[in-house]
Amino acid sequence: MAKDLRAFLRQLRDDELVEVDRAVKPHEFEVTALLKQLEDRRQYPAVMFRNPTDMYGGKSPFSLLVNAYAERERCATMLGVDPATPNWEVSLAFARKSNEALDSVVVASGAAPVHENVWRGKDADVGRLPMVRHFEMDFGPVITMTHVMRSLEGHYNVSFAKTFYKWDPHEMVVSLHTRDNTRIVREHEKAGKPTRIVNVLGHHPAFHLGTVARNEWGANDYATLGAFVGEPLRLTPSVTWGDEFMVPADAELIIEGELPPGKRDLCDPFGEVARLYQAQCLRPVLEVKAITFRRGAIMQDIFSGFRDSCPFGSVLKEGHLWNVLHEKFPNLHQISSPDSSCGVYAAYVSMKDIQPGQAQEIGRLILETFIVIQCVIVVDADIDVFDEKQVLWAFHTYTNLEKGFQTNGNWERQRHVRHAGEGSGKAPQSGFATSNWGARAVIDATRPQDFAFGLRSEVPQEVLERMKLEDYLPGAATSAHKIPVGAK
Amino acid sequence: MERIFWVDCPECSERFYCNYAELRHAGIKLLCPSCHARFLPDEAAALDERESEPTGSPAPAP
Repeated sequence: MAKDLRAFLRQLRDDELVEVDRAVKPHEFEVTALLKQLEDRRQYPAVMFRNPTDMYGGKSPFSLLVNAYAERERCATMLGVDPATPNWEVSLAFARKSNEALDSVVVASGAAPVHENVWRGKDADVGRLPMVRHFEMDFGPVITMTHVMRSLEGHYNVSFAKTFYKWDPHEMVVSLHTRDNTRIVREHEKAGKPTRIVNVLGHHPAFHLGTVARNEWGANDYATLGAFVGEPLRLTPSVTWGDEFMVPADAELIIEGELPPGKRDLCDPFGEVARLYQAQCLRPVLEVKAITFRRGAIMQDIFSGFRDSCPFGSVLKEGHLWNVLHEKFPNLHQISSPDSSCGVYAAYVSMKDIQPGQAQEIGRLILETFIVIQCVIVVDADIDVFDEKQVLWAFHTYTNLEKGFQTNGNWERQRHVRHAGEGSGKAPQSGFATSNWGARAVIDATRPQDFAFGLRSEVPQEVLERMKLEDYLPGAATSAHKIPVGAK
Repeated sequence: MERIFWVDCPECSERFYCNYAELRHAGIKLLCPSCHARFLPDEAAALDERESEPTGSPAPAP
């Protein structure tokens, strides 16, 4: 049995996956309206909408799954980590898997679940999908999942990019923004060739999470994603290009299409992962060639800018920074990119026995490694970086604002991302950059060591371990925020 | 920092914003997300294209 989305869903507890049977109109904000209310109640189940409408108002043939990533416990399950340890252990698992690769295996089209149904030509109508319009100022309904492209050299790149509905059954617009897929489009256009593209709308959640791993140009992302899923990916020839372009055999639903050279259209605004709208811009047009899907296919969507999208920024930063920094800083303890920054703009770092100057040094390297991070707060190892209250306590208590707070408007490697939709200018990335100022900060919030300074109050650890809450206050030990909101 | 400009749709008066470098003077009609009207930036009912102050300059003395 392959590791696919259905296998993952079977692993979840009843309170981790809830189902909505009533009809909802995703393109009229009805899905995000429900998710926002759950989030306001601090409830974060994965939600399966069994009867969403399509773009024509009729019943879509597909179910819609949103919020799968909204709890780190579920991210732990995705990556094969004990969900009882959802914080640093998940970061380390991401770090390990980023460095691994499993060669994919090929299965015949007839054995590929994603080819159980094939729509081509006029039947390949993207209007039948339950696309979500998320936010009030959004351009329109959009697909939020990953794309596969293949470079002219032959390697596969898998990255997130939004695909916008154009009120046209066979054309969409792809809001490309990552370095590698932008390069692939540029190289194809230079050669006068269309760029082949496959939008993967449902797979094991680790497949999508692994796509944010920072691979070098030329790496085969399918091999990396096998490591994330935990077994070699099964690939099968696409229905459009055969074995010249392989697609994930165990995906739920995919769109095969091409980006004709130089063809652009408008897309955005869209409420991005940093909780700001991306500005309207020009991006490549996707001409749909085929839609293929499993029986009872489930389409995934990400509730962008809310808890559902945070792990794509936070777990990536935590894991990648560990890989980059832990040899240079053997006393590096843990790293967290908090939800309050949407997993985008901030990093909290804890250090054991920190040495003079280390806070600024590690902070500078973090800012150079991730150009979107605006603020690094460095704390001691007794501060839990996954508990923001503790980090802010250290900041309010320990930071000498005269010495421990450094900003700099001239950090190396300022934003230089180029889009496929742009000319040769060095324009910064949309959305994220809307609030990404030139100056960035490193805050030393470690306890002063160079003069007599007070001590943080603590209850003795031995007594904490001896006095079990459930022995004295039965029921008080249950987690308050995990209230079932429905039933499978 | 990316420069944007806000427009008020001449048809429905709803506001949205666009990438300045790509769309302000490109002669391309914008698309209103609310009513799908197409219009050039200079046809907007209102336009806000103020730029931010340059970053990285020293803070003024208190």
